[in-house]
Amino acid sequence: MFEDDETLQMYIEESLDHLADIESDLLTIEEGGANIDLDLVNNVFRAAHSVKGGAGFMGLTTIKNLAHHLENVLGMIRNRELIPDSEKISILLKGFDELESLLKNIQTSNGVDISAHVQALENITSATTPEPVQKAGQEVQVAAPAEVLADISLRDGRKFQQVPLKEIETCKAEGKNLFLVEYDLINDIQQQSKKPMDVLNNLSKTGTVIETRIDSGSAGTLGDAGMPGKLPFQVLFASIIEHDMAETLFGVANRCIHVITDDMISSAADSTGETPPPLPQPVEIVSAAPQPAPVATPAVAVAKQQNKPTIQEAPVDKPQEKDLAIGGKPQNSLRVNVGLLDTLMNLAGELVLSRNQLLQGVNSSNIKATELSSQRIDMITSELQEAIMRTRMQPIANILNKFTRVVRDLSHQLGKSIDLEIEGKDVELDKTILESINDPLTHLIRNSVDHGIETPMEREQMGKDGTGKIVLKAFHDAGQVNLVISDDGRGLYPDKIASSAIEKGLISESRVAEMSDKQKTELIFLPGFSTAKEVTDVSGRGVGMDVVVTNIEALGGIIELDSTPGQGTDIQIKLPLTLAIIPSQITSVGNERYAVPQVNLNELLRIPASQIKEKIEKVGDADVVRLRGELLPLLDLADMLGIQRTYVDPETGEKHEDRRTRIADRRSKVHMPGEVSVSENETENKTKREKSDRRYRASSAINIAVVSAGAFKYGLVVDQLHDSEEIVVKPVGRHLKKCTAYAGATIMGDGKVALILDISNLAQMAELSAVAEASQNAAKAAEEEEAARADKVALLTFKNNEKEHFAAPLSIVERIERIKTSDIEQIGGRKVVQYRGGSLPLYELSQVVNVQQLQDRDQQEVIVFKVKDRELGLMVTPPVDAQEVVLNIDSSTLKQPAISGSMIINNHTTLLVDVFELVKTLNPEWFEAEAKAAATMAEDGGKIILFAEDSAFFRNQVKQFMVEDGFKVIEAEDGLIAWELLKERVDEIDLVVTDLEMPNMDGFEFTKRIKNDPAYSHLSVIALTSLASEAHIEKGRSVGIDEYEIKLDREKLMAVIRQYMNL
Amino acid sequence: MTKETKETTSNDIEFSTFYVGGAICGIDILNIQEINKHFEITQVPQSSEYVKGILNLRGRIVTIIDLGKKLGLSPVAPSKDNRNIIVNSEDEHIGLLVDAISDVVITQKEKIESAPSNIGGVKGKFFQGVLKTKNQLIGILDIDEVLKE
Repeated sequence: MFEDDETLQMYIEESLDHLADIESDLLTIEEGGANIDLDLVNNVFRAAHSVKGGAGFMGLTTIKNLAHHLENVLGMIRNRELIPDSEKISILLKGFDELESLLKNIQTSNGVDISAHVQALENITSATTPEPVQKAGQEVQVAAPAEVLADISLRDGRKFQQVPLKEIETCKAEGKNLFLVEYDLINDIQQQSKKPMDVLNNLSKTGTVIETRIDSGSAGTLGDAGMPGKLPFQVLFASIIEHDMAETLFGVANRCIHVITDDMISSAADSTGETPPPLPQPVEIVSAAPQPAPVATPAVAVAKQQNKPTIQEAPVDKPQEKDLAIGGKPQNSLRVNVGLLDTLMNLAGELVLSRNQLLQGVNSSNIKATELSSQRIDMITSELQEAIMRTRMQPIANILNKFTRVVRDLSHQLGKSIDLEIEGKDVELDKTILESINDPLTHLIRNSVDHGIETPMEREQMGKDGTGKIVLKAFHDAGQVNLVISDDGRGLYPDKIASSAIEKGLISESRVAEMSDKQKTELIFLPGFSTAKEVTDVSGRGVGMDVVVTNIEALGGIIELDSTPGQGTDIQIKLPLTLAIIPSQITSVGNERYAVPQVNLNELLRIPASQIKEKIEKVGDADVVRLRGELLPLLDLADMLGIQRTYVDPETGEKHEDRRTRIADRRSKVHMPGEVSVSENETENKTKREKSDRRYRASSAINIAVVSAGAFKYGLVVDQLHDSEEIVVKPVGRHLKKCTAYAGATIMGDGKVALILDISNLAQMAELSAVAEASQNAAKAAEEEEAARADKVALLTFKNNEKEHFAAPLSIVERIERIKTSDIEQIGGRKVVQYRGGSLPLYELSQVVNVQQLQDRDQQEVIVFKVKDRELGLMVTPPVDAQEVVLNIDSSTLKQPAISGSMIINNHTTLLVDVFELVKTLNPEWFEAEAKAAATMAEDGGKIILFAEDSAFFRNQVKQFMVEDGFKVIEAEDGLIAWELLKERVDEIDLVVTDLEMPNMDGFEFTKRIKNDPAYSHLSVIALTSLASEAHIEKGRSVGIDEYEIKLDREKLMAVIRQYMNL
Repeated sequence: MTKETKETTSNDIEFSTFYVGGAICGIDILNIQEINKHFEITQVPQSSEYVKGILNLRGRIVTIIDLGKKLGLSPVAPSKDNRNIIVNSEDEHIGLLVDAISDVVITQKEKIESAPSNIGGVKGKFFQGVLKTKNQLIGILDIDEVLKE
């Protein structure tokens, strides 16, 4: 059919290029409504026109026909005969869509039925055309455009038939002159190395090309007209240019330019079934046959003469390859900036030069020259890599732009009104990433439109603007590309999501109870989750958010979700710039090296052997490191992967196997019941080793790579940290696919292979990941259920005597010190130690509590507390261990001064020390001021605090604090009771103190009710919590909690209460 | 050289034979990419027990499989005769670590007998057949079956 691939290909590419921007232009036109932006309309018009022109030339009837009809409508818009409302724009958009798909399937295009589009377009034109030509309802014939056609008779008697009269009239109305220009394809165009499209493009700069035809039939018959061996290419052209200028403009002889005057135009019969005209046969009729048409010949001839091979530039991101079933096989090509290509060329040149220098240097054994050139090569390689990478970078606009249309169409379909704002179209991403991000993004946008934004009515009821807003933003941040999709819709309701997840059996109720709102919201990422009540054809087609997450994670990206119920949802996606080469931190465990992608790496941490004890703690079963006040879970890579650990001998540089098999062995804090204290054990070992093997110290420092996967952060313990390198990711074989701990492998400088760690999968393997944890089975959950119900509290456990176990709240502990017994001074009947330039008073429990005295030892562990801004030390016997325990306190059996109760921790009856009371007993003079204030306040009638707390122990404890300070307390066992009490006695109550985790109504809900009711909103709310997480605090602030305090930190709590009471 | 080698007809098959776990096995020589003795192998913790590790073969990552373990025989004992037979399976290069390489045997298709259900302790499904020579029984391995995960 079209044998000349090159010309055809060029036409397709050019046309697709023309069409590329049409969508957004049309949408802008739609927005403008009656306020027509002529430039824009002209743009679109020209695009349709160029497509039409070329199609006529190529014999692509269907395309030409469709383009023609589109052009008609656009022409009317341009002349303000039509107001582009959304209905008309929809039809135009669909028409252009069809045009695009026709172009992409060029070989079959002529057989495609486009009658529906043509009819729709005609309906627009005929509705406004003064003389109704054809009415809808009549049979539609594809090849029978229901428009007024005209024939043009030339002076020499030839006819140019079936031209759309409408256009001619339009042009005339604009004061343009009409020309029929007869180019000769052979002499005028081809021999001057021009292309027909060039000619047309040139012409359209100065006027309007109405019709183009190749007069193949006349090639022979024109001989008598004195133009032998010619292939006339006729262009009907309208321009404001006068006749005398025309010759220069067209670049053809005057005799080939026919000025068309009104009398030459005769209206052709309306009837479409007219007999074919005798002379120039319109191309479309010839080529309508599916067989190769004769018209192809000139095209071939033209292109064969074009001896310069043009660079094939196909639009990159159009997935046209899959659409093209047969024939036209566009190469998967990429558009590259010429400047960039020049850079590459230069770099290649430099590389060759440097290679020559290197070879010379090596041959002449000139070390200096070799070094120099290797440095150069190093530099050039980096630059070359960067430049080549840049060629793969494509603006994200390529995929973002189409969302305007997606949102528009969807919102129409759903009866919603939505504005889409796109920011950061210039941001560039690797081609492969760009292609793979398309589907997940589409899914997310669809979700926003379908589930996120409410209907205009709902929105107005909620007091929002009836038009919803979706913002799609792309920007660079820290070497990553960030994509944010935010809408101001209904947002996600964590509790709804959680209950839906429970219903579906994805998670147990008790686990949900422990989760923060953010975690609950993230449950929508679980496989098998979908909140859509009904399956719409928009979203909710069985493809859930889990697929989105999987896709994004496969790209090395991260997705985060942030939503405020009723206010909207923000989804943030972080993507690497490219996939092929990634900067990584090289670490090693045992004899192997492992690469940690820099994307996941937050920082590196080295804990010297001397600080291991202080910095690393044990919470439950897990090791944690305290990092700037945050507890970071630790994951030992060697344990995870089951590798034999090594350490490097600092003297010989040799590697030795590390005999300690567990990370915990390096630390002292594990205390197993019935076992000799590990701490003492290690102290012993250490002294022994210090004498015999000094290397131990250096090698036992712990190297930690602090990494993050999604919102989750942990410390990866490795043997050694090496350099940061750029590594090339290579896939691993199929036998290793099930090893999810690795993201791939890479080849190191020495030729050996190193594995690349998959940080997020490692976390999952260790069951660290928040969501992974959530999706764990219910069995484990049930076991923990009881634990979750009661309050957990971080306690510091220690001993007074070998068999006397004690604990104190960790929150009020300042530090733990070890001092030499010989440093303790006895002054005025009191023990002190010089410490940080001052004296630290030392006490032991036996001074207040009925326990044995401490045994004499060389060293003394001291827990430093801070009370009333003064530090004091409590001498204890190790091991001192931090534990998170469920408080299940018996506050009566073993109660005595300075002991608030007893409980069982690790099979030992442990007494809980009330540090405050202890200090008060020892130093009553510190508290005189308070006692006085309390007394005065009690006399004045006292202030009343409403205190809600479900744990009896805490209720009694905290109440006691308050009462001792002269406050009156109204107690409540949960939020609901507190709420009822508040309603009854609001006039008396001065302040609300509430626990957060409570049955029936939790502290958040309680606070929310208080703050949302004008009758109570004046009350300040102080929340008490055992373990305040960031998410908790954030959530608390959002419902209106004024202050957070840790339970059992009496001093701070009372200070805050006083502050809020203005005392 | 005898006449036989010169006249290899289409009916002839060449097998590269090798020792693994005390048995002698063969692989169609057309399946073999190369035989080398690179042992700069990176171990892959958590992988299947029969995976010896991964190797850089001219920029490609190749999984090395201890054929002895994979076949359920004794693992390949380190020795200077050890070789990696790099085979091409499902568009991927995979290395089979064997105890030692033996001769290339040329035979005719008809001479290959179907495999019994068990050859020297190895499941019959791993074999395409057996070849009896004068003094030994060579198990012809079905590479795709052996390399199934």
